[in-house]
Amino acid sequence: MASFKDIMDMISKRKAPEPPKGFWPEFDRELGERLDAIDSRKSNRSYGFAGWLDGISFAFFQPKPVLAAAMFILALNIVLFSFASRGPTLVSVALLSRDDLAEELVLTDQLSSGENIVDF
Amino acid sequence: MDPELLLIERARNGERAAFDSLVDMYKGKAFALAYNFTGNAEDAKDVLQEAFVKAYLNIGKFRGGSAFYTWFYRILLNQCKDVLRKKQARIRVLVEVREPADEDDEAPVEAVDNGPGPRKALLNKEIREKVDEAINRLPEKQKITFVLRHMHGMKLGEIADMIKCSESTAKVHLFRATKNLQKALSPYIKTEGGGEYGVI
Repeated sequence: MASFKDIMDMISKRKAPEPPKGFWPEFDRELGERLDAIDSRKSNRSYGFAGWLDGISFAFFQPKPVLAAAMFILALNIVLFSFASRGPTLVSVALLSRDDLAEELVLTDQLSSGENIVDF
Repeated sequence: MDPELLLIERARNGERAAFDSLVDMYKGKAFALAYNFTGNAEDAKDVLQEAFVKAYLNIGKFRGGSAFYTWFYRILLNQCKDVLRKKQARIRVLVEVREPADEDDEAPVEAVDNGPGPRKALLNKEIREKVDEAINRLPEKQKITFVLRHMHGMKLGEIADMIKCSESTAKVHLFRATKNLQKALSPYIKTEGGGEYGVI
């Protein structure tokens, strides 16, 4: 039987794990490649629209599913909103050309006559 | 100026070579921590790489209120939790990571048994397995606190900073972890003449 102190000593004295052979060179190479990619993205990002687009796509492809989903929903909402707001618009009469104005007046006259016909 | 602080400052200013030096400084210890929580070298490598990438992306946010390695270990621990959560596994802590190269490589637990060699070795192995099992069963915060304190020699203040709680709360986690371990290992513990083991 061991005392609890012996067990605690055993835990504290355990050596740190050694990675398998060839682990660190591979690790350094892979990490270096990832950091290089980040560096090149960082330098591209500061150049105009292409950089901005790259930044957005970088954010999308980061391993953050919730953020990516939130950004996707936001983008979708913006698109839907812009489509929905493209309804009939009011134009000032002052901006119409002479011909357009005449046409509008004829249409209005016809409409009111038509309504009268329906009413009577 | 402290050379490490200088490296951090240079890395914050975007100097890649300085960040590479920080990686070299901490990768060994950080690997041990990642291995303790993931239980295998492949997962430990992935977790460690992801943590360094996150640190590189966010080093500008490091204000120096805590030590760099505490800040980095926090990222690493969160990464370990994420990976293990994805694997639907609880945090596994491996006390026994590798077999010693020879008999003298690691001191055996004293007073385990006075019997013949093979029997003693068997008992030692059995106790190690029970210790691993008992640590694995600890609640997450107790486990993290225990591992960082006793297997990585971190101070309570640093641990508190890492798990975002007060030092006294970290002390309570450690106390409870020690008590729970003592309870779990009671069939293997010699009680005569031994008082309770302190937590610090």
